[in-house]
Amino acid sequence: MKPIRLEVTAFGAFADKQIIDFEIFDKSRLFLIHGPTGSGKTTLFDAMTYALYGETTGAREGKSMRSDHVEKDTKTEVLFIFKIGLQIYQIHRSLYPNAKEDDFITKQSFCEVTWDEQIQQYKECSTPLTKITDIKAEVEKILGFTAQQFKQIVILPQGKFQELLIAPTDIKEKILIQIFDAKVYENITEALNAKSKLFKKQLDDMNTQLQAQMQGIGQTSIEEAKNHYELKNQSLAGLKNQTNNLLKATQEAQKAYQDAKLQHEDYKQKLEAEKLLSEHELKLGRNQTQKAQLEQAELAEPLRADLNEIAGIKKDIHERKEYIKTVDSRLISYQTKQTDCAKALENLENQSDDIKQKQKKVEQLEALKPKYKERDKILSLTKETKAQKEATELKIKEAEQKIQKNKQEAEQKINPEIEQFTLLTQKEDFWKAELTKYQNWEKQRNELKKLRSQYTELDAKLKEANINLDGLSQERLQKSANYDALDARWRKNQAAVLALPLHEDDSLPCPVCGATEHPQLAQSDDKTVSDKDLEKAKKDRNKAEQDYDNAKKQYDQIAQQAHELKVRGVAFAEQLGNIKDKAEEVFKKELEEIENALAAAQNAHKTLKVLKEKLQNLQQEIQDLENQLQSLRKQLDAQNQQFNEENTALQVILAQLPANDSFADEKAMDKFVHKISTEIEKYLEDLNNLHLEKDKIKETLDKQNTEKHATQREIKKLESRLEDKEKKLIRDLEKRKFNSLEEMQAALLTELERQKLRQEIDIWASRHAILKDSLEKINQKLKDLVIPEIHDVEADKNKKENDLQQHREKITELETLLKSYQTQLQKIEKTQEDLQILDTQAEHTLTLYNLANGKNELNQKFQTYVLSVFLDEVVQYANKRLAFLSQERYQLRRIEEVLHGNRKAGLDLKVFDSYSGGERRVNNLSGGETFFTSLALALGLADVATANAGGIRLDSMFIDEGFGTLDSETLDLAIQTLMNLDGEHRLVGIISHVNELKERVSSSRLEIIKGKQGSKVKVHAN
Amino acid sequence: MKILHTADWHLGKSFNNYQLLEEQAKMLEKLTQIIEAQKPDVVLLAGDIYDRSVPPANAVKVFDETISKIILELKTPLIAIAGNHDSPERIGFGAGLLQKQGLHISGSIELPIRPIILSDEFGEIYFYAIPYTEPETLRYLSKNDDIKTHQDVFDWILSQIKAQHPTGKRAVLVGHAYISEAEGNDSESERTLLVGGAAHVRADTFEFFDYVALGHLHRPLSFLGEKVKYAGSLMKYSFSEAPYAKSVLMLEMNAKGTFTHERILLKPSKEVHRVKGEIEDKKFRLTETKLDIQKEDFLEVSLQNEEIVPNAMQIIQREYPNAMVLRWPELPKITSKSRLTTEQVVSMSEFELFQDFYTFFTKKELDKPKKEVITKVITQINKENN
Repeated sequence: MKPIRLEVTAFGAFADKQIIDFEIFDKSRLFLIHGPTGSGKTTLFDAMTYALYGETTGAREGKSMRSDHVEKDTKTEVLFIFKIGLQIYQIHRSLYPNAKEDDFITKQSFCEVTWDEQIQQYKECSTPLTKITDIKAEVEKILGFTAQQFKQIVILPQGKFQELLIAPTDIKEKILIQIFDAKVYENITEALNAKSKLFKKQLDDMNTQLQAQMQGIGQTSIEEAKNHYELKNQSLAGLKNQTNNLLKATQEAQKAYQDAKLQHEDYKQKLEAEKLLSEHELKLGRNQTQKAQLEQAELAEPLRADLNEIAGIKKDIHERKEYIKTVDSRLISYQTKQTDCAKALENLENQSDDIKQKQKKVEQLEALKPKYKERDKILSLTKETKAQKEATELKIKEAEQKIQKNKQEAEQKINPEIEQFTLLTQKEDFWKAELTKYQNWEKQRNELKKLRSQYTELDAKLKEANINLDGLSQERLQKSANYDALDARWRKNQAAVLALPLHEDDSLPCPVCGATEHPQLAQSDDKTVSDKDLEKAKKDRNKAEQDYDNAKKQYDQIAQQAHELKVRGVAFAEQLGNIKDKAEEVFKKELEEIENALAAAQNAHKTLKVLKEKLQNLQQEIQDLENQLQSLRKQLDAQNQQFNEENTALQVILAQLPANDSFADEKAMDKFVHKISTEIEKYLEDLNNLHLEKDKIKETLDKQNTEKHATQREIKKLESRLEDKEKKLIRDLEKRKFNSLEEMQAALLTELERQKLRQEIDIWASRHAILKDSLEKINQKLKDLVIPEIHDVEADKNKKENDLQQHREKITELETLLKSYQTQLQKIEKTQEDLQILDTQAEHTLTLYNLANGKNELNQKFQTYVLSVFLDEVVQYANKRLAFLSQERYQLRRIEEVLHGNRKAGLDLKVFDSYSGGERRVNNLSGGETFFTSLALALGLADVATANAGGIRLDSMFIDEGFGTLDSETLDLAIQTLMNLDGEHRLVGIISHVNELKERVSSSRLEIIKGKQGSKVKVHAN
Repeated sequence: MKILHTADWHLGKSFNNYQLLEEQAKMLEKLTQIIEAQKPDVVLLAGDIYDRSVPPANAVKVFDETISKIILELKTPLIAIAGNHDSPERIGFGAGLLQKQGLHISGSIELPIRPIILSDEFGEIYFYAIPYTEPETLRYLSKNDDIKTHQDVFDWILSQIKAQHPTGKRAVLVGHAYISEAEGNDSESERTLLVGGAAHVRADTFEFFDYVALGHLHRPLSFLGEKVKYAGSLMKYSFSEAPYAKSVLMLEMNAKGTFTHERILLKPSKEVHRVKGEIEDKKFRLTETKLDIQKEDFLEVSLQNEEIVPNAMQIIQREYPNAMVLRWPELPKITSKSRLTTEQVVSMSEFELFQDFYTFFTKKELDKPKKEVITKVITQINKENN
């Protein structure tokens, strides 16, 4: 697992969001996290662990990681992007208090991401998991560690570093199992244990079962049980023999009983038949009543028709009487209507005069219609003319105003301006002349300046040449003197050479002059001068002289030039006079002023022209307006005249119209006429309708009266018929001996009822005959018979049956008992067999389990045996580093000796000290030695785990403190070890406050700066 | 001008837990004697004055006494710079004040770069004292983000110097760096300069100067002909340096910037050697006696015995009390106790492993019923796991 990016907000000591980009340290592979105590160094690892697993290292709980420096509504957030192999993952967790602030809500998400070049960010590329348990399972799967192991292997935390080294076998075992995926071996041992236990339990159960089975048959051994079985079998045979005799006796008793029963039956039947007959004869009375009823009904039947007819006639009469009532009420209502109609007609008659007048008016108005038309026309004309007049007056006013305005402008504005500008143009020539003058002066001033500077230059050159000349002069003198000296010496030498023999013998004559007395003999001195030297000196002198001459010539030349310049300069200055003294700024300013004035004068020309034009335009405009004014006035007069004419015509018409009929216009008049006409029409219509109605009512009244009379005649007819019928009926009743009509009516029966009566009478008669007959027969049968006592016979039979039954039961019982006994015996035998098989298996399993659980001479469990192979390789790799760190003094060894009695072994480590030649226990090392031994072991583990284990990659490692226990030299070795780890993908992070580390790893470190408002992270890297 | 070039004193260093300060003091006395005899015009100390950024108090005292003697008594100016072991700020204390007395000490680099100008009969020589600088520091000071490696640091510094150095004047650089061409010639006692590489500087970077006096590597090496030289450390500070004698460099520079040079050897009171020997009858003796080994010398002993000898170090230290490191090449390697290798374990099935385990402890093969039991168990477990 290699970290890529970590962002923390409001976590532990960090308040504001801090971002750590681990990819910066890719090149250096080793980085340092340092800062004062409590600044938050370990917190960064806590954040990493928390991001991955939701837990932290050490003793700090997740919720307590929330920073104290933040507001309540700031979320604690951790974002961690990391790489495993080629896949990149991202986990985000946030923690914040809920609304009530009594608990925390956590939100989390986990997904795979890829690097997007375009937006330069990591982008999600799978569906995120958001449940705590899901994420934990996924992380454990891809990382290969649980949180516990992560904290022990990848992050080597403060104080816990040495656990892997010092831990006894059982704890090491757990760690190694996880790393090397060796759980299956542990599982095998445990499965053996489980199986062994299972067998034991089964054995116990089976034994218990056997015990129970023995108890069940009440025996203590199988032989005894078998004997018991034989005895019982024999007694069964004896019983079976007795059965036949008992059976015979019982059968006889049963027959006797049957016969007795039959005889009793017959007797019972006789009694029964007698009973029935007597019961039946009780119903005789009823039978007779029914007969009488039938007779009466047959008498009354023919009179039925007459009765019906009478009822019919009564009904008709009643109907007709009702009808007459209806007609009466109708008649009354129509009479009322008639009266109303007459009244209304009278009303209308009264109004007829009024209507006639209205008709006359209408005629009148129709005649006046055309006149009204004309009046309207003339009114509209006058209105128009008035409007036109007013418009014209307005135009006139406008034109007058405009003329006035233009005149004003011309006088007050334009004319004065023209005057002003004319003045300016006149000055132009003057300024031109001034300008030329000044320009000339300028030229001359510049000339003068140039001359002056040239002169200065030459002056300087002259001075220089002078100095040079002095120098050369001196040189010349020197060289000359030198030469002279040398020359003198040379001569002297010559003289000395010549005088040499004279030194020895001063009586010799002088070779030069021949004198024999030598008062001043030339001495040679040490320093001989050769011809060459002399030549050289001469040359030098000559050269110096020449140099000097040349220089002098040059000097003269320059002096001459300077002088010429000076003369010219003076002449010029005189020419200029005091102009030359004017200051540069002043001169320039004056020049500028002149130029400006000239420009102004030239511009004035243009402006003047423009103004003159404008004046002309104005005057033209005034003229036009005056013309316009005249024509408008003419127009106004014409309009006035027209208006007057129209007004006159209007008056004429008005006189022709009636005074009080002042309708606004023709339309109003039309409306009035229309209204009146409508009123007249309505009146006529109403009149017509009322007449029609009167006639209709009369017709109806007549019709109804006719009907009434007809019905009354019918009723009379019916009433007489009724009387006749009733008389007839009374005569018939008497004939048939009915006392009253009611009696006869009561005796009437329908056809169906009469039939039913007849049936019942017949049935009774036939049944009576049958019963009598059967009683006769039975009496005949039972004539001379004796009945025995049924109870005794029955009792005898029952006893015999009982005895038989009991006997049989006894036999069955015994058979059943014997059968079950046999079954049980079989079961017991099988149980014994099974028991033996199981015993053997359990023994084997137990042996295997004991062995696998460490019951052997090395106290090694099976998984330990397998793991020891891995541990040996780890130790081998660890020793390479340990040799370097301890300068070949220490070596780790895995020991196989049993340290304490039963305690499991095989993975314990000891340290071999080559200086003493003996082994030391790992907890006997000093603090610093323990540190680097643990470090070597951790690195060895990382090496082997990456090479072997499926999927687990220890690409990064973090070491939290521990470096303080090392002295300066060992610290150097430790740093070098960490820096020289193989493999490009490994990243090692160390936390330490040791100052020396800060300087040695200065170009690859994270500084945690503690502040009052939380800590901040600062990166130092290249 | 006569120039004495020395470097890498590492005062206060502990060598395998032995405090070397006393030996270093003795060595510095010898150095001052050499200065007294040779009378150089200037002494160059090219870095790593102390061994740690906060050195022990006595080490500071020794340094103080030494430079007082050189400057005040022997009246010789001293140009010193901080190396990668030194703390720049602490070394640079009082630099301005001390300069007036003739001690030019440069702890951290200052911009603009000012040379120290000394004169001889031929004219002026410009000395550029450049202390050890991390790329990050210079990046910040020069506000130039392209400075990432030590090569970049020196390229930039050279560009500044070349821009301001007057033509015709001789130039000498005093610096602290790792020349890339020196790869393979370093010793165990030099600290790696940069975590993650890129600490090397090419020798031709210094072509411009007449002489470059370097420190950092502990062996006296030369590059670019003789122009770029390491004086080497004051003493042997690791066993890898045992074969190479220690020295200081004495140069005589003439008008044109060329020079003659000689090495003046430094002989310590206690030497550092790598030796071979063996223990017999509880007594230690050397097997090779080519070198002249004194009793007090610091030794790395390579023991030839083929079997473990109890308390070997004690025995050796009876003869040579300053034996520090013991190596045992002939000792049989600690072999793995298990008969299997990890490759085998990984390739064997659970059943085969169990069989092996059983046979190892019971010395018997698995009989049929046991085979059945274990096979059943393994099958069940594998089924559960899938």
